[in-house]
Amino acid sequence: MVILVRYGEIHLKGLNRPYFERLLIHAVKNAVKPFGATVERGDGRYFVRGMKDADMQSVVSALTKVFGVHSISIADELAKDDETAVFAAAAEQAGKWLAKYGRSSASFKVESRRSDKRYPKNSMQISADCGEYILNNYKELRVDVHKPDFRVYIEIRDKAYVYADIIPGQGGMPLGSNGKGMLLLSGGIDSPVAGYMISKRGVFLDAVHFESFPYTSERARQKVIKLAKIMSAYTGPIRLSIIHFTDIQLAIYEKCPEEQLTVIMRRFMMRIAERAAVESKAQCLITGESIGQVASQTMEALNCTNSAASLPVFRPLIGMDKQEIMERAMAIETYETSILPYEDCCTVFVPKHPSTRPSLKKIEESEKVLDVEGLIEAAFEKSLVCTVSADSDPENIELKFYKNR
Amino acid sequence: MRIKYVFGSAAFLKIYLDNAATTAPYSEITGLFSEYMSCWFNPSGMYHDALKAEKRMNAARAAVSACINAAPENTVFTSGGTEGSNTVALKGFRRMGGKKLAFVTSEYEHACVYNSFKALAEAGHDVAFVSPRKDGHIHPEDIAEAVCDNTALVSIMHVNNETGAVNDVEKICRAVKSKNPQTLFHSDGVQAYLKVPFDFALSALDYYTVSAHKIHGLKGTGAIFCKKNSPLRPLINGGGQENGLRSGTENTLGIFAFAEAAAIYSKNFSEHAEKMYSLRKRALENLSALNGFVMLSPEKDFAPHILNFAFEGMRGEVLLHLLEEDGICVATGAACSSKRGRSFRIHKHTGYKNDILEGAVRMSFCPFNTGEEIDIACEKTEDALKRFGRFKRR
Repeated sequence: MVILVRYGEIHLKGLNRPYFERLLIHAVKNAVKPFGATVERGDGRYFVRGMKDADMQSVVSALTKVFGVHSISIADELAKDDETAVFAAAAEQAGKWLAKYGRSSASFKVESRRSDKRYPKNSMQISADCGEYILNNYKELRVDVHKPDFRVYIEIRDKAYVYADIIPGQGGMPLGSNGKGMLLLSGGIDSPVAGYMISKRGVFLDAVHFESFPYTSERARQKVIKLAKIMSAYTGPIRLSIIHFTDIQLAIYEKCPEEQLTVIMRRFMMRIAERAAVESKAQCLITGESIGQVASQTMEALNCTNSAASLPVFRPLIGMDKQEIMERAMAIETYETSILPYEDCCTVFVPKHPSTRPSLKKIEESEKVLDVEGLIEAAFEKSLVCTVSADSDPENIELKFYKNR
Repeated sequence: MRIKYVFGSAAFLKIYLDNAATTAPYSEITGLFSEYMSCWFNPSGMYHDALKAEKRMNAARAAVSACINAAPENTVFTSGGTEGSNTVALKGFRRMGGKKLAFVTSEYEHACVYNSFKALAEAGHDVAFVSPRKDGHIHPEDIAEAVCDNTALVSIMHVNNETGAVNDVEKICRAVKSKNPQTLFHSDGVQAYLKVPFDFALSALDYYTVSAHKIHGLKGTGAIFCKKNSPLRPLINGGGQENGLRSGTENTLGIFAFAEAAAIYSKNFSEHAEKMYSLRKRALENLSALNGFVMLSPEKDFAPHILNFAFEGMRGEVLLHLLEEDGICVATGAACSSKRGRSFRIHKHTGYKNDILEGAVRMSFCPFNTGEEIDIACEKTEDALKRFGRFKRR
């Protein structure tokens, strides 16, 4: 058995293609390394071999999380000259399909490709002959070339490959092909999805999380570390800075108009995230904002928040509905963790009537009473940092002071 | 007691004031652990060592029962308070050929009773949830009023786990039985066992359930005390251990430790109670002098080990975390429910608004806490109020 790994978009790249390929093969190798598997480059695909049969599903699941992988198939690898063996393998795949879905009858189609043009039969002939072979062995099957219930694929390359399933991968671009971004990770449903979406374009992630001890608990911190761990199966290790945000919130509470609390708070978050971004050489900020979702995400409020940072702010969820975001969160498996009911820093002091149309001028006026730089400096002084990867234990992660990182 | 905790390489001294959640095991139990390494036999075996384990288990049964004058032959070991209450609530009544029955319990029971009765209601039975009165107690006449001809079982907790209110379960039980002698009566005694005086044999109660880890025993062990003819069916089926009432190989280590802990606690009953009453009094005097103090425990008939209060404008969770910074462990509510969103069911009877109830904090004591610890905890509470009291949620 061999796993075929196909890649998508980097086909399109011209002279840079070797660069993208190098990043991708590196990512694929990393994903299968824990299972002792090896990766070999073929034309337009990688061949993964050497894992135990028992690990097959785990290897496939690891590969489905690699950005840049378009699809995956578990295939039989055979010598191509023994046609009967190839057809027998195809028939066995058909039999497995019937057994898997418990069907007593079904329609199928054989699809063949040959990159070895010297092979004595062309693709059409291979498909037709193999189809006949399968029909002779399974009376319950019939051929339907337009809408078959399932397909059996034969590829004639250096060897012959036979498979029935094509498992979709993540798509996207290999990690590291597009630099690094700084995600504002709250612990809610949206921000992990936003991080995932940007990372999918080949972007490494670091993250900042704001906490408000004693208003938020250690469990809330734990939850965010767990979210970072789930994300890191896709995005690679995430350096997570945990920013001590309480003093800033209290200063805003005491000195600024109530209805502006949230917007001013979010502007501080942007400034802090930007500083963390610059210090870790990230080139953009990423947030989970979506227009109009809450009072602080109206067009006017977004404008105020946006003005606090000069790095570009990417908001991949900007045009998505909550339902769509939730579905994505479920697909990447962050949803269940996101909905754990621990209070986060954003809900600690919520104005009764937040201003939905804040004006930047007024906000800047209100901020004048605050020692913005001093507050940020003091927050970093008390902040922590950890590196979270897919094999981290979120409950026993090593935390360092940010200043000693 | 100041307990030395080790986190990573650092050791902290902590003040543990969450003894209603669980207690540190008695140091006297330590020996049992190593003993267990050679005495781990299944008491159901047919050979000598197994028989020895069984004998010891029965001695433990006698010890645990003796503390509240229950008959050991009607004592069933369980995995703890939750299992005990579930067993009685779901299986401690006569089925009457499967017809619809009536049940009565209170609005402020521990979740293990409350949710079991919810399950009975979902199964189609009539369940009345009676509210405590403003004084924090369940009154016999209120319960009697809810009892009718087909009331199968009444369950009223002895000591409330959040407020510390002691209910006169004996009086409540007699009121129930005089209205309907067929009705069975259970009391959740998890917070009351060995903390307040109680004689099971003399009482009219049918079932009483307790847990070992609240009296410096180990987690994973508890007991149901039954009267001889009170009907009880098993909740857990299997090899027929515990007279067929609780199958599954017995947790012998837990049971031996339970007996040890119960014997020590019971021997020191008056001293322990007196000590905890004095700690509670001291805490109350200190705290009630602070601005915004709201008392949530009852003014009279309270357990020695629980003090429940709030400070206006200070959320319980915030105070908890601030005290935690100083190494002081308290609770906002029952540990079993504080992981989920807070419910105000327990405190509804106080008549306070939710923003006050959000401030609910529970300090609970054990006989090994010291007056000095209480003073520190109260000082730190004052500190916390000074630092954070002005930041009110709007």
